[in-house]
Amino acid sequence: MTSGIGATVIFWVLALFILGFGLAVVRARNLFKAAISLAFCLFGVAGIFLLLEAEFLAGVQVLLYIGAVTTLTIFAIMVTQGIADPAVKQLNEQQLPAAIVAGTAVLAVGLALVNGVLLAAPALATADGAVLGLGRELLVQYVLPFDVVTVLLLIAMVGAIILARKE
Amino acid sequence: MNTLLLSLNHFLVLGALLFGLGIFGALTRRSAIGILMSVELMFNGVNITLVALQRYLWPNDHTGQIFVIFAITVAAVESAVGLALVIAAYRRFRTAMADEVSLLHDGALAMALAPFRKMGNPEGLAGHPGSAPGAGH
Repeated sequence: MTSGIGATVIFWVLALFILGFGLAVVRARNLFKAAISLAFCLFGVAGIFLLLEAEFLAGVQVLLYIGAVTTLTIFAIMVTQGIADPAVKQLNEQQLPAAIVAGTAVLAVGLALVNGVLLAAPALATADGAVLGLGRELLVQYVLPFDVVTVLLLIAMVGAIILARKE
Repeated sequence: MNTLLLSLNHFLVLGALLFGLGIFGALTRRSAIGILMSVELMFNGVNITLVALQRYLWPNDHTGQIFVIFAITVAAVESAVGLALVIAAYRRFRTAMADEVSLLHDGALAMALAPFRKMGNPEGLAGHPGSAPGAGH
């Protein structure tokens, strides 16, 4: 799937889609529009996962990120009234330092790419049954982290309720 | 079948750009919710990198994808707790702007930051001492 001209075209369309909506998330004056853009951007990332033959992750991305996290964010924006008001200034005065920091980070990763062995694109082997192997590894080799993360979810749920309730 | 037009680097560069965009947003957004959304962008940049590396270098080993599953779970946890914190702060300060929420109004930190605030914005941000109702105990 990650070969052929079709996949390349899909990749570029998805990349433009992701970065365009990502820019909207970062720059939009209206915070509500930024949250909607975030949903579209994450949808594009799910497409990239499909392109990389990680179908299960694409499903998790849509269900958890778009279905839960974005919805939660939109709820929080609506509850804190006035925050999405376009008249309120949404960006601070640190544009230039922030651009320098972000540019340095991207440049550092780019340099690592250029200097690394990764530039020689390795031959793409065919993956075996993706979801089957993923589930087997998750529930055999990584069963302890899996259990720990369920406890983390429980703690977070209780913590979020305690934090957000009225005293 | 193996005439590769898409290389690993395409995905790595895309992930790096998304990560950089997230850093920029986290540093320039004023509202705490906007910062949280930018952090989500950074998570996704890293996730793309992990999945791409797994797919190209270890196609029969799913550890990269398992890392992404854990990253998504922890991101959901971060989002829930972070938004609860934002709502609690909003109730206390009547604002969710990260640069206005401060308990050190007359303290050393506020005085130390005052000249920088004037430099950046002549009228001052809305976060001047006493401007946030409900913050005065």
